[in-house]
Amino acid sequence: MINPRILIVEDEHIVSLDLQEKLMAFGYHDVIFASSGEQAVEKAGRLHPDLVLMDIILEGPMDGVKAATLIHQRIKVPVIFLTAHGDDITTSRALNLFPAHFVRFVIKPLQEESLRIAIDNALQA
Amino acid sequence: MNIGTLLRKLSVPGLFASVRLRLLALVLISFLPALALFLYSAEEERDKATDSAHREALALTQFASDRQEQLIAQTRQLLSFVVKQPFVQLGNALTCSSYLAELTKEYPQYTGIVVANLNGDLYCSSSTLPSPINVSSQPDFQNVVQTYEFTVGDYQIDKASGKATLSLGYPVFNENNELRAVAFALVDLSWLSGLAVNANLPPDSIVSVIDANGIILARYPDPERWVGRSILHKPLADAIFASDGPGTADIPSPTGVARLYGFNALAGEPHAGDVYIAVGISKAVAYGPAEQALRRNLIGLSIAAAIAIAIVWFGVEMFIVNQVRSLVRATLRFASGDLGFRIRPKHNSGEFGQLAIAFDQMARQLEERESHRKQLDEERARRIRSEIMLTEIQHRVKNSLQIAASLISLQARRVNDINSRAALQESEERIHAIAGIYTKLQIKDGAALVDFVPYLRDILPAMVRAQANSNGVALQVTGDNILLDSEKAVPCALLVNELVTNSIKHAFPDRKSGVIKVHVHRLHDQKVALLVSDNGIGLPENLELHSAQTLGLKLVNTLTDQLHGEITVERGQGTAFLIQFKAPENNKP
Repeated sequence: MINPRILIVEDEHIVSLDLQEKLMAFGYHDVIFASSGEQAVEKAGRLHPDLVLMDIILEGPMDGVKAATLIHQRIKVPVIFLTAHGDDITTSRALNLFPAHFVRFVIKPLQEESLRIAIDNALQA
Repeated sequence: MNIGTLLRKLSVPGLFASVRLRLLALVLISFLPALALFLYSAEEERDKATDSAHREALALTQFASDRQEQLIAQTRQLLSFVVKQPFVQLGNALTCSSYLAELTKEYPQYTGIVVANLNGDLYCSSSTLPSPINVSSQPDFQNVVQTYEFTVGDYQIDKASGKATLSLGYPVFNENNELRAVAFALVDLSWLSGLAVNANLPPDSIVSVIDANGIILARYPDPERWVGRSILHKPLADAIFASDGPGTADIPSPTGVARLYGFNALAGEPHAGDVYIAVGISKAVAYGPAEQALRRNLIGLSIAAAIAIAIVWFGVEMFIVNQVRSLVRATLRFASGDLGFRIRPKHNSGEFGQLAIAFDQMARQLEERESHRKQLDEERARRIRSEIMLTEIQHRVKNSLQIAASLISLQARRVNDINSRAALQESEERIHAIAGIYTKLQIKDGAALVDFVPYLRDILPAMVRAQANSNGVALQVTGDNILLDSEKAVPCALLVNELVTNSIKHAFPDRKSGVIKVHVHRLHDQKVALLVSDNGIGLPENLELHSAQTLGLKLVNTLTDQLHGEITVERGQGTAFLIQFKAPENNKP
């Protein structure tokens, strides 16, 4: 895919900035941002990203899983959940809502190599 | 059929549900044997009274019979004396009559003594005759004339006096021993009535003399009313005539007095057996003592039963119902949630005392169980709260570590010096090592633990890949399942991170392929061995681990100290670091 658009949904702006630089280092330059679930749903519906990097705990009433569900109802876009949980409950909750090939998980703190592999795989799927 | 079955058959649904009624029924039943005994005893007494009355009546009839025999013998003797008197033999009527009148005054048992000539004309009489009397047609007269012997005649009722009499005839002979006349003595049977009086018979007793035709010849009491009347085909006459000899009879009387009879033939000459004497004793009188005893016993039994019923009625209230109510109250209070309620019986003995003790024991155990359950619930709730809090803390810590890692990462990208950048990247890796511990943290029995080998398998491959010169380096992680608490897990994780990073950086300078092995296993004495080895070029010979100045090895020494462990280095085919430290064994995955 040439110059895919990636939506970063993260309420910690420093992490969001680091993610953007990591993505640019990986060669992905079309990056858009959202810091809440509602904003992510709105931007995804409007800007049609090719991939969503979704933090699970977000500011506001809507969490990452709920936001990803609403996005998926509008556009079939793969989602990589950035989770600090790493627990089975979150994983199974997300997997129950999406087809397995649409969903990936990367554990925080983000290791560059793990993130890069996850993004490459998601965009190639 | 036992009592239980009987009660079940008798029971109206619900009627015997009450303990009080059940006990009352049992008490009443317990009186039945006594009642049966009293009734049986009364029946036996009645039988005895019957026997006694029969015996008494029979004795009296026997006595009468004997007495009659004596009277006949006496009369024979008297007549034998009378007929020898000259004025009798000569037919001197005036003297004879006067003599006989005196004689009958002396012997009141005779209603009269008369003498008849061979024509049957009475010429001599103890009483004045209103008109001449001829007895030639009388069988008694004829018997004497024919037999020349003393004869006992028939019983008959004297028309003049209305009394029953027995005529006894005796032949009168002259000096030539020729029959000249016949003397008769009429025996008054009313002595039999006197006999009844003298015998002290019980009240309402009767004495009857009846002939073969059922005619009453004598009777006590009320002779005037009864003498001469026939009782043929009446129960008494039937009983007498049906018997061969002395006998007894129980004659019911639908209108009058029921009596127990004894009867016998009056003794005398052979044909005198046609007359019978019967003595009747009132049943009511005969049975009186037995009936009275029965009445007394039944009254006593009734009083005893009434007292027993009263005792049961009030005793059940005091000794059973109150205690049952106390148990029911306790049960209801217990059921309503008052688990601390106890009966605390005053007496430990007895079924109710034991039941109350058993109840208290049960209540105590249930209270303890409930308390234990609540404790477990609270512990579980506490554990859940702890786990939620830990998850929250994990999240916040990891988020903070993520921010720190991002800051270092952002900084590293802006540093031009390669060494400085590498140093920042190492710091970032150390943060990843620490954060990985929080990812794998689990709560077990209130302790925060990490299953260390799976943690290494998760964290190390990415860490190795992140190293600049790690291509061709293979990583092997092996070991036992060992749970380490977070205090041990964090320094251990950093130790492994430093040693693996050290191997990648220094063990394979020519970038040829190599293997790094990490092995964790449990030793004895709660010790854990952590082995990090590579097949690289080995540490420089002059490098002293404890005096090394590189940050990585300084950290290794510091972290080993923090674990209160020991570190040894083997130099041979590569380098092997062995760290041994104590870790409690009580937690297994």
